[in-house]
Amino acid sequence: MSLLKELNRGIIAENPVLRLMIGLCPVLAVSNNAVNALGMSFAVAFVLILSNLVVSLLRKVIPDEIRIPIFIIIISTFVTISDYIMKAYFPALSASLGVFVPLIVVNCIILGRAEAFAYKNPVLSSVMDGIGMSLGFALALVSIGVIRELLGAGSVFGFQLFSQAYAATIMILPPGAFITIGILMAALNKMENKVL
Amino acid sequence: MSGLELFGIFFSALLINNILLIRFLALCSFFGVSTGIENSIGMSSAVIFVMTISSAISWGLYNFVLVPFQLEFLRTASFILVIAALVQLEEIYLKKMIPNLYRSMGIYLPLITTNCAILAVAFLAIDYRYSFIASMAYSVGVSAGYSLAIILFAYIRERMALAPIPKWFQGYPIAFVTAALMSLAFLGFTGMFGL
Amino acid sequence: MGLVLALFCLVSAGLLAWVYVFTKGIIAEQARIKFETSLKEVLPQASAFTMEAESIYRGMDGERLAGYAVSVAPRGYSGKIAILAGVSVEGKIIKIKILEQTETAGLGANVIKPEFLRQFVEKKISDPIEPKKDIQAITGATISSRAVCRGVKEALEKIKP
Repeated sequence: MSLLKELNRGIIAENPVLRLMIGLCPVLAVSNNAVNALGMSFAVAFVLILSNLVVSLLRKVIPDEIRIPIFIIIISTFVTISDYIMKAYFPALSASLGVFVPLIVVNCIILGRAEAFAYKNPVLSSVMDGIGMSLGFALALVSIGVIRELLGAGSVFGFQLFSQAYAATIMILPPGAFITIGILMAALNKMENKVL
Repeated sequence: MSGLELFGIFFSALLINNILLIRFLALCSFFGVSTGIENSIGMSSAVIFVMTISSAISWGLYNFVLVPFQLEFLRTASFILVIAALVQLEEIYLKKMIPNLYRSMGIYLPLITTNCAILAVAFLAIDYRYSFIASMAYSVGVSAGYSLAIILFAYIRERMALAPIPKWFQGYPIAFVTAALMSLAFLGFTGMFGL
Repeated sequence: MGLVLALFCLVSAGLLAWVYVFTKGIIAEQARIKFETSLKEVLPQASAFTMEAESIYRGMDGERLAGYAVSVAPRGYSGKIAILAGVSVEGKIIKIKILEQTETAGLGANVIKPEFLRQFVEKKISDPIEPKKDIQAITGATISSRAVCRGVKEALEKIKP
């Protein structure tokens, strides 16, 4: 099935975060606990899927020369919508994600997919591509969030598994984000070489 | 606003809340451009240049246009478009007027539109309710902090090219581990001058 | 081409205006509910609140004065820490609550923990309210801890008879 292929690609082979190294800023910044990571994943998925959908729907109407400004307008519209929805219905989450919600607008994943995929492909595969990329993003973000929260605070999604006294606080501080993603990438390299 | 407060804003943006190592913004360029010292110097000068001008303009846009006309909901969209247009204008201007400078940082200018630090500084100066002068001190501090971190990182990476690194860690993984150690070092500035 | 661009801008602005108007009321309502629950939390004896002055709320239990709720916002490590303090008629802290903070997760952000906030109960203006004296600061977060202490002191000062 080709549609499934579009879906799968984003999850592992072209995982935006761990493979293509794009959209890194929110991954590091909001992954200090699993709930924030999940919230951010939803916001990115909302924007990415809808912008892929709209760009693909309108790909025949958008003149080639001004496609980038138009993509930016479409993306920033969805970003602002998700920002306000979050503020209205999940105020606590919105406060802890802070400036990173409006910053989704410059997240390279979204503009990148609009330009590289949605602008050239039919609606259904573009939506699938959006879902796949969002899942890949969420997978990377949430697993980093879970690792950091577990090691740094002794809890997962807020459930205390062991006392914070035994946790390494460094993991929820900025250096912990860099070191987690570095080691995760190295592990992925090793796994891949074994398979080959 | 006293000089001391301005210095506090500048210093905290430069080191304590370093945009790359502590606030995690503009990381794509941090890892992408830092492969050579010359590249990172070029990128830094472009960031200093664009960030200062764009935060001045977006501050004015927000406080003199969006707020009086109650159009705050257009903040995200208008800022990104203004920054994109500004980068284009600056590119044209530099090419015509100061070709030397254009040669050294011209190729980095288009990359800056998607550099999230520029947009983030514009947003944060408004979230913190800074005055115009304070937001200038802030953006100069942030861009100087960006330059400091990326140039140091480029020097380390140049050295690291000669080091025997485990196979799985070559390339990006070791770069992230290095960034972790730098970030740890920057955490040490916490509490300096009571900031 | 310019027409297409203008059309996109127009549609986008229209959509955003609609979402903004739609959510504005909800956002304001959420903030109000949150603030009122916080008032009740720091001053459980009171059933009704009236604003007495900027950032000071008078809590009434029927006809009787139950105490005051005072909001302060001292500067912490990475921004303002918004604190609401419930103060009894005798000028003692009943309970304090952190409304908003942007301190470092895992360090300064621990000021929201009940173990830390509990220490302020029963404090009055003549107490030192300082780390190393009568308050145990949070490990690795002296600045945030000191900021909360300063805020509590300021709150007590505000309603000094």
